[in-house]
Amino acid sequence: MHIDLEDLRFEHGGALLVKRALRLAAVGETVTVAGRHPDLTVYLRAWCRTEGHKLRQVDDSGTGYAGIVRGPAADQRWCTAERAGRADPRVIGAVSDRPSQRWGLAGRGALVEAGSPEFHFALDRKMEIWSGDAARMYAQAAAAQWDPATAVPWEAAFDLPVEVEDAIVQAMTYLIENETAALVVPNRFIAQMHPHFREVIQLLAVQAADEARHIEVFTRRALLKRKELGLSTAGGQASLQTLVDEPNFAIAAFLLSVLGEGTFLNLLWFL
Amino acid sequence: MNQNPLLLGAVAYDPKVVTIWDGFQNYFDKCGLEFDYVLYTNYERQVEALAAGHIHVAWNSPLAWLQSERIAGKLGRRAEAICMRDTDRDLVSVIVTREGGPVRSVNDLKGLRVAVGAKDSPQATLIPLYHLAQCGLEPKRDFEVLLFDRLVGKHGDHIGGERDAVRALVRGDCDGACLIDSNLLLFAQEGTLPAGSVRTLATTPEYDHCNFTVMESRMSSSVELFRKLLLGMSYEDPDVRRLLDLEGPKRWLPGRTQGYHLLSRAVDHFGYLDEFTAAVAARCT
Repeated sequence: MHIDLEDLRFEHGGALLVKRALRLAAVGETVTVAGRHPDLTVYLRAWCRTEGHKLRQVDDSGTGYAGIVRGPAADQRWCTAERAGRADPRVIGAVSDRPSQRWGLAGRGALVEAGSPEFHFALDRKMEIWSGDAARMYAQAAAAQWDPATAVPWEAAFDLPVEVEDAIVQAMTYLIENETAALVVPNRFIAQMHPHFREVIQLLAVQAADEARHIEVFTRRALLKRKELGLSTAGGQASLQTLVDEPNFAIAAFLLSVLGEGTFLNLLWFL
Repeated sequence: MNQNPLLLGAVAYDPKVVTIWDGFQNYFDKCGLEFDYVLYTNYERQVEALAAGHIHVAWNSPLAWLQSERIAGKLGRRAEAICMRDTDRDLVSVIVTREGGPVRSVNDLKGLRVAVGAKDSPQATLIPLYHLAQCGLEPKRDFEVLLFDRLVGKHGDHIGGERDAVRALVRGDCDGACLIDSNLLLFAQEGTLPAGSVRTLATTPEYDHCNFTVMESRMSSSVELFRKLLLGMSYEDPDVRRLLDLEGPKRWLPGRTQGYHLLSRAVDHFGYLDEFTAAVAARCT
């Protein structure tokens, strides 16, 4: 194989072309490199030494010309690598029953170098986490995103009795508190979940984004006519704390999404 | 704690040195070699410790190798280079100038100023200055030497001196700069040297860099196992690869000493080692 860098300097782009040529060569095969820059062989010599290739046939007389014998280091690095499942969850065996903690943050389906550090994701069992529906639900949620800046006519004029406005600010304060709990709960589980279960994490993340937006609109509404929020009670916080502390995802999700959000819908309809 | 480990000396030129030798200690322990290490702040202290028998093996710079070899000679003993990295072989240094500047050849440096690294750096000072002397330009007589004396005692392992030298060249504070070829590549890649800012005036002959040095017959069976384990390290092994990536090589090679002739001639030319080696030999007699 031969590559001609012409006037391209090795250290300013030429290295990429040489790397590409070597990647296509077998270990022990020689790739010849030519170029017109007088410093070509200076850089090639240093680069080959660092990368574990052998440099031969160096010609330092004006026009650079060298032979690079591909070394085994790159192959040695990857020969013990492991495929972390398959990207497409529909493929049989794509989602591991219990992915290795050494797959860490690698995307499902990536080739993971052996010797990667061991992570400690507590939620790492497919049986407990995985849902074949997660990808569809995430896609649905992602497609239904809305912009709070334009979805609500914030500039519209309105005038309410002082007591009613006070009550609304108090209701918003209560809602913000609850939406914050709703934001924290999925995030707590995301941080513990093995990234192998990508679609589930994405679904929880889009839920967290929804809750963040809810916090934004409730805060914005509360501050339309007031400078501060209303009251936060000890009892209310104690109730929400049980939700935040709940270690079981199924129970936390039931409390949050069925009981909590269900009550909210009733409250919002009332308002 | 092991009672009688093979004791290695290394110079702490960077915080990663602790990570490297802790890793090697763990690896050697798994392989059945009792091993420990001592860090020195400078090579001279380490060289004397090896000569005095405080350590069994020294991870030596090329200059420290010459120091050890010459001290051993004065004591009627023999120093041996038992192992080295593949990246320690066949290095070259370069003398560079600003692209588009008035300097077109080495001879044009006459009467001008050349930046170098630390005064004890083989790659950024001693060897390239000797090369210029061989080209007929004697340092300090035929051109001014701008010294970037970073961390003297570490024999140029810390590349700060070379980085300062090329920065001085780019700023126009000098007309030439000396550095090892791998740092020329590194400085170009990291942007210390802007694209097309310098070009090479001269390349030195090839020379070798670090080696593991022992004094003959001391702890011979442990040293032999140490050497065998090093030479048996495979880049395929992920535990080994982590250590090799920190230290730089893809594999270890048997030590050789023919690659130190150039530096030996350089230090003789500049009379660099005589005082130190004589003093250490006197203390170790």
